[in-house]
Amino acid sequence: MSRCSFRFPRVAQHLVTQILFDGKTEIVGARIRTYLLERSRLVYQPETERNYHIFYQLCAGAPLKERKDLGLDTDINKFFFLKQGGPSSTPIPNVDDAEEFRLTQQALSTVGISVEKQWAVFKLLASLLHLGNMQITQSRNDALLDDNEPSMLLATRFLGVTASEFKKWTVKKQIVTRSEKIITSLNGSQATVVRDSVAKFVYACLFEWLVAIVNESLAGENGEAASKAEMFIGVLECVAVYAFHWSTY
Amino acid sequence: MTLCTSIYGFEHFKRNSFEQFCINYANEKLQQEFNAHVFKLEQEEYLREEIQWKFIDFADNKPCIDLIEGKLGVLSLLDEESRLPAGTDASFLQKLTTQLDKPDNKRVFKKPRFGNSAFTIAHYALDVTYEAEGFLEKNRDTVPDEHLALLASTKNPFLKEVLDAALASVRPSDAPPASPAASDSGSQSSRRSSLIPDPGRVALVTSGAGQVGTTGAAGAGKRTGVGKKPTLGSIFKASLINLMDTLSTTNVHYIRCIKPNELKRAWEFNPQQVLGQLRACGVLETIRISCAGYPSRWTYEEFAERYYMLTKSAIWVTTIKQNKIRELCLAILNATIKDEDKYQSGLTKIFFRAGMLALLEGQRSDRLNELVTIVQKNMRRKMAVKKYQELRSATIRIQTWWRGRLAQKFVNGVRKEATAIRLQKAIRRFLRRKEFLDTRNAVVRIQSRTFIAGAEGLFGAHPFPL
Repeated sequence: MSRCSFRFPRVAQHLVTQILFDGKTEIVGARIRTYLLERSRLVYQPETERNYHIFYQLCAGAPLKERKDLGLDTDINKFFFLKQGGPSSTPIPNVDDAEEFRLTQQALSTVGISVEKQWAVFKLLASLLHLGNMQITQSRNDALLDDNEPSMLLATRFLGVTASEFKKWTVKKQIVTRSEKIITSLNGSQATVVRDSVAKFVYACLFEWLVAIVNESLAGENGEAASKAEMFIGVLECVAVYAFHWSTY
Repeated sequence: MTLCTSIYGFEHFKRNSFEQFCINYANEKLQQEFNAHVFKLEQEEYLREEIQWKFIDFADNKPCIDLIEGKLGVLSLLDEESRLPAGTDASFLQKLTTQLDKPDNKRVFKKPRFGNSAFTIAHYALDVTYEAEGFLEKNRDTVPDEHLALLASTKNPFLKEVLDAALASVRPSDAPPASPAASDSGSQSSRRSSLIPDPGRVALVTSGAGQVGTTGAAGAGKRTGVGKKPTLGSIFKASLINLMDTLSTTNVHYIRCIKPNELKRAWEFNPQQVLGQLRACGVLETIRISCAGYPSRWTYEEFAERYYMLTKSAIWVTTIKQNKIRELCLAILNATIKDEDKYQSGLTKIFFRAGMLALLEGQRSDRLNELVTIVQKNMRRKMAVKKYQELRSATIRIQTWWRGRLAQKFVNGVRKEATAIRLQKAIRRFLRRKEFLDTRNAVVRIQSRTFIAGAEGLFGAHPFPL
């Protein structure tokens, strides 16, 4: 499986960069668009593959105080969302995640995200890792989640949502009909799917927010470049995964 | 406008699930676009050159795409099943088999021989068997409304900002019609509109935005379209269609990147792996399409320049002098390709069926070999003659010199002999004369003595003694 695709923070399967030109073929700006965004990586990584690099960078590079505040650990095996690729997936030879973290921070500053806001981003990312560590168990057919589950408390605190509500809607579902609302219990794997879908949704929104910020910085004041643009060159970057494990059955 | 696309490959693992299904679906679409593009380019050229051509049949992957995204295709059946509260992967598979396992789909949809937990789709690259398990859950992949409402009520100001930004990036027209609330929230983004089509903005938040919108409205007591939440499959499809729309507004150029080995080593080339990739990214198929028409073409000038030697020099010397390149080309073609279906003469180019170029190249190299042999022959002859003549003249020169030497020697001999004879003659003459004179003197002296003695007796003694 290709490892070179891990060299860059692998945030999206498809990113389109458009370089915008005005009528005189002067470059007036650029714009990034996302297509067919890959999100499942957040909650599941195949053998030998990593989650998005930023998580590993954050774990390796966060200063002691922040690491403690965000409940992070340099040992990524403490996080279910990070360890599924197995020991061969991380660390990547010749890549220093802590150094990469420094570079990522620099890059974020370059596009105009203040250090304060950067830590808000990292806080959301940390909340996702804790979501992944939430212990959902099952008794009979009902999913169980402890009210004081430490990972859930951390995650909900970082997300700024009520833990009890969060717990409730993770293990239960509500069906609304014309006349009434019916609440039923989910089983363990269904509850896990709910948890994962929330994590993916938050991650996707965060990513979209970042793309918007980057576009803001590439497009000039008030998106002026986009309105001036008459032509564009687009570079559609898809991560090439040619994996042919020929099946024998 | 220009758009560079790098298409990621086909995926085929031991176990293929919904992710592989989506990726391979995207590949089918991109391949279709690619085929159509290549094919269109070909046809445009045929038209421009005004040659006679018939519609060329190529392996269109439309049946496979229809199977996936059609009205009763895999995606819509999956969505239908995903919306049923009681839907399961097994019932989805059941539905697939009853709906799709028909003679019409025989070539693209197959049931595996063993087990009933999977289905097989014959993609353009190869057949892929997908395990139905997990399809439904992955397709549903929607965040429950209650969770969305919970997130919307966050006390984390940054999360709020992020959710709002994600909302704002959806344009009204892109929002699914099932969630009217989204159109209000999307209007903020209108200032971003430009001359450039920007359909990619839907992407991931189409579902999310719609839902947050509806849940926001739900808080005010209005609840719409709960049962019609977009599924992952439909989001993927919409996003893909948008990508296709963007592609169709641009001039497409394709660069295929091939990974030569797994180990990222220099100068190492794994043929199986490369072939697999070429097949997977449709290069082989493209070559096949190209071969079905007139894969090779030459402009008249290029053709004449390369193949003029295939006619007699009398023809090409005159036609080139009169600048009748077209006539020259036709003469070449008449002399080389007997089957007239194998080529077509356009306005500026000649089009050839597959294999014709190899034939021409063969004839060209035969002809050139032949000509080179003639040149070599003449050259060798000339060199041999020159060498012979040098040898001959050198030989003659040596002979001349040597003969001269001999003649000189001979003449010298003759001259010496003559001289010797002359000397001998003179010496002999001298000796004989001396002998004679001596003898005569002696005789005379004797005679005179006798006489004197007589006379002395008569006249006295001689006054001067002898």
